[in-house]
Amino acid sequence: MTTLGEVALWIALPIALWGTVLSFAGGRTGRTDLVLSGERAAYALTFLLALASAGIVAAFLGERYEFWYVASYSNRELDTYFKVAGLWAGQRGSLVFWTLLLSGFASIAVFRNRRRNREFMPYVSGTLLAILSFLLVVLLFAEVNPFERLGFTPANGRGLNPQLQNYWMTIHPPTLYLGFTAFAVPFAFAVSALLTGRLDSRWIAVTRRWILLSWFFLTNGIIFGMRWAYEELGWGGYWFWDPVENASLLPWLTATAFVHSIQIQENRGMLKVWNMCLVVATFLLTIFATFLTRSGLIESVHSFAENLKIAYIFLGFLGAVAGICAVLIIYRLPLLKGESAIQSFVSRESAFLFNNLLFVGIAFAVVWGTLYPLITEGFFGQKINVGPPYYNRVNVPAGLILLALMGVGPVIAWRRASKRNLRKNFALPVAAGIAVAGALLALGVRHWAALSTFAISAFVLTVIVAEFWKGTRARARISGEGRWKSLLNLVGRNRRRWGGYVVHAGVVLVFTGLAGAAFDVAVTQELAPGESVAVRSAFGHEYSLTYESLSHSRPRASAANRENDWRWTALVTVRRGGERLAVMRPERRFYPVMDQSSTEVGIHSTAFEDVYVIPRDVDLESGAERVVFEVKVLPLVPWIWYGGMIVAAGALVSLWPAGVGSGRTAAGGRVPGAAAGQAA
Amino acid sequence: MMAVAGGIALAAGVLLFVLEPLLSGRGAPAYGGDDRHDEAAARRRVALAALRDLEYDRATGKLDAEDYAALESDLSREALDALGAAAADMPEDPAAAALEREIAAVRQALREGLQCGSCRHVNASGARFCSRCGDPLGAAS
Amino acid sequence: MKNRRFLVGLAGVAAVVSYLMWTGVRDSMVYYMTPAELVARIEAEPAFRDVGVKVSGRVVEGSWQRLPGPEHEFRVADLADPGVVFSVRFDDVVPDTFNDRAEVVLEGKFGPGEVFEARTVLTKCGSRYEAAKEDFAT
Repeated sequence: MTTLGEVALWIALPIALWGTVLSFAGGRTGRTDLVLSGERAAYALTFLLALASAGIVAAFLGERYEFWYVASYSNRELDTYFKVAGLWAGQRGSLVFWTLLLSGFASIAVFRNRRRNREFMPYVSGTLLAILSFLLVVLLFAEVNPFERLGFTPANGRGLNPQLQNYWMTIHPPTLYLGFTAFAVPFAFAVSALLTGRLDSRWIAVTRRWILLSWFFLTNGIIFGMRWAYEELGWGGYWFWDPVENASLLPWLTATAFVHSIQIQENRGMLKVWNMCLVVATFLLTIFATFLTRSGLIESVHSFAENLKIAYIFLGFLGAVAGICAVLIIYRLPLLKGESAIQSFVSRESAFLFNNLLFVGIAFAVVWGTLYPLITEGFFGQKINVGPPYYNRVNVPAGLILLALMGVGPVIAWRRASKRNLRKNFALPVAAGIAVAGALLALGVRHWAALSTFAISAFVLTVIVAEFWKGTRARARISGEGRWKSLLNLVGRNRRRWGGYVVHAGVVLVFTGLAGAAFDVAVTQELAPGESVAVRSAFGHEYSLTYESLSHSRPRASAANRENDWRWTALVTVRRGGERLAVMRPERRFYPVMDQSSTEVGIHSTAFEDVYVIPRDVDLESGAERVVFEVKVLPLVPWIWYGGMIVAAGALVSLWPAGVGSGRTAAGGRVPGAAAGQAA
Repeated sequence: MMAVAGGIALAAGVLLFVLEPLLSGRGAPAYGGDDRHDEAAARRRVALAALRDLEYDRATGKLDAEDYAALESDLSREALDALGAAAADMPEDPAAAALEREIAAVRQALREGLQCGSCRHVNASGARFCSRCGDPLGAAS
Repeated sequence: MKNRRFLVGLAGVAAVVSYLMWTGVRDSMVYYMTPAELVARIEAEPAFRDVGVKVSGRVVEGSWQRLPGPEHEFRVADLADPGVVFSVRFDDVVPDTFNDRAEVVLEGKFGPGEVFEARTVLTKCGSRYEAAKEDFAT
């Protein structure tokens, strides 16, 4: 199985190159047999890469430690679950996995468009196959082949980093990769539109659901990553402004800008050049993210490795793609002229435009901060880092304006909005915002950023609820349906709009959750069994945590022993105002094979705050079983996760295929030209 | 030995699958449409969607009567232009048709609505008070 | 006319973002050095002792001492030039992945005497780095 996988990887490269050449040649000459052969290459690649991935998984499960990659990321004691996830635990495997996902999406795109959008398809498959060829070249020639052998067979592998032995870490990278790779399809359509000169809104209509799909996965991937950091890194935070985190945030920022700006192009025929630039930039950033996590060029807590060869290859590819796209866009500038101009400064398109500027501004600031060490090293010969204060300085104000825009956008009309209507529509939401601000001020909240966040959040939520209410009422009046049926039909008719509002509501919740960090409380204390520590949360709850006892599981050392770790588990009872809430089991673990320890924090979630217990240090020498605990009460953190779920649900509403009869245009799944093509 | 045979079989199978179109001369469907049609149809769909949004904004009170009237005539002209640009024999686009029906329904309801006696604002049908000036409807005028 | 207003808006956003970026960099920048660079810089410019820096190096094997309380002392060597070594004191709990041959990133500055007072200690995830082939031989 593993050998077959290795062979499959070698067969894949010529097939990808062949498919690239034939697809472009077929598009150019109009020879449909060449085009079909190119599309077959995409299917074949998916099959071959699935074989290669299966080969790697088989090597993990078969404990084949003669393979360098397998020996580096697993050992005999590791759970089967994490052995399977070994496929994306390290650089080599995750590149194969990335390529597999990309080829899978390429196949789906080719299959779904086997009879429609044929004017784009040859170049779409050509572009996707070209990207795949590049990744395969990297895999086979940049010293990252996952099938590389050690030359001897060690008795056991080195095991998986304890911090990666976490549920969220097994689903976070695949989700992120799904988002990265799905974006290649809209990019390929954009390239195809540029090459064929078909620069009306067709390519956007065709790829809109791909864009939303990619956005859905990117968003979830980022939130899963935050979840992982929160549970596993053990310091009560979820975002570090680490280069690798930034790398995953960057394409999300431009993709979010893109999701909004395509609506201006569709509605008003404007911003065509801008959209082209955004789609190219987002694709480049997905590649950049892969490159950044794989090269270790910038100091990062979790860079994979300092492999400079791969860095140069990736940079070369990025440069080439950017260059080709720039030339194409400049060449097609005459066709990319806007069809109309902005009619009024106070209109939804101008709000969208402002939103785009902010997203791109934030993206630029994040790129600058992430690359600052490299820039200063290049120019002054001295690496200089910037920390979280830098990012907060720029992103907090920009984020607050974006938050406010989420409330402004839905209420002001396309093209022009009159002041009188604005006053009428904004009265209630603004009042809600002011009321919240006033109430918080009265309660003694003086943290301006958090205060603004809560006030603006109230404003936005009121706008969204009012919007649903008004829409439902208008529809009920027109169609004579009942309230709930009207609401369902309203959403069904324009899923993108209403799904978008649901996403916004989720984002508001996430923002309030982030703002909760302003009110974190922390206490560090060394406790003997039976002793307690008291904490008072920002909401005024009195928590008392009692360290009951310490238990130790230390498996006997024997050949048959398959235990991965030794554990010291503290039993901690949480009480609030005397009432017993929960028993937590925070742990210290020791991984003998890796000679490393790890902390498993205890988290007790309530609706409004988390009690977060970190066993910092366990005294093992004196036998007194004293433990240093750090206890944090983190307000509103659960709202981040709830908000994330609402965002995901809203994104699903937006991208779900519209059912038959409700009018596919409502979700815009298909291009009428295809019907024309079939009829002809 | 087994591995070599497996590898050769794999390579042969994949090659056959990819090269088959060239050998048999079978091709993928080519683009059979007409770009002018398709572009016009796309424009028409866009114009219709914009009209629907406009009606929606009007129904929920985000647009004034005057702004609405001006924008509506612009957009309707765009939609008609796009329709005219597409040849008459263009097959019916079910999606655009559904949109058109929806817009017609909204517009119908708006037309049946009541004009306010004091400020001439057109309210949706069934409204009892004017959404602009708050005067009761039907009583005046 | 209307385009002008947008250009003004664009320029405004750009100006504000650049201003925030500039002040942000000014207030949060930290030199990132190797021990060799730091030692050389301080020799050339003694005032540099008081500038907070980030230093990356490797903990010298066997030098890690745990003092009473969560307090640690260890020595850190330059990665490229193991001859450059200095002592470090850290008053908090070290990360899980810390051990006495870990690659670490320290943030802090030299106190009185020749001891580097670390405010934070981060370890570079050693196991994320692939083990060299030879490491498996033992």
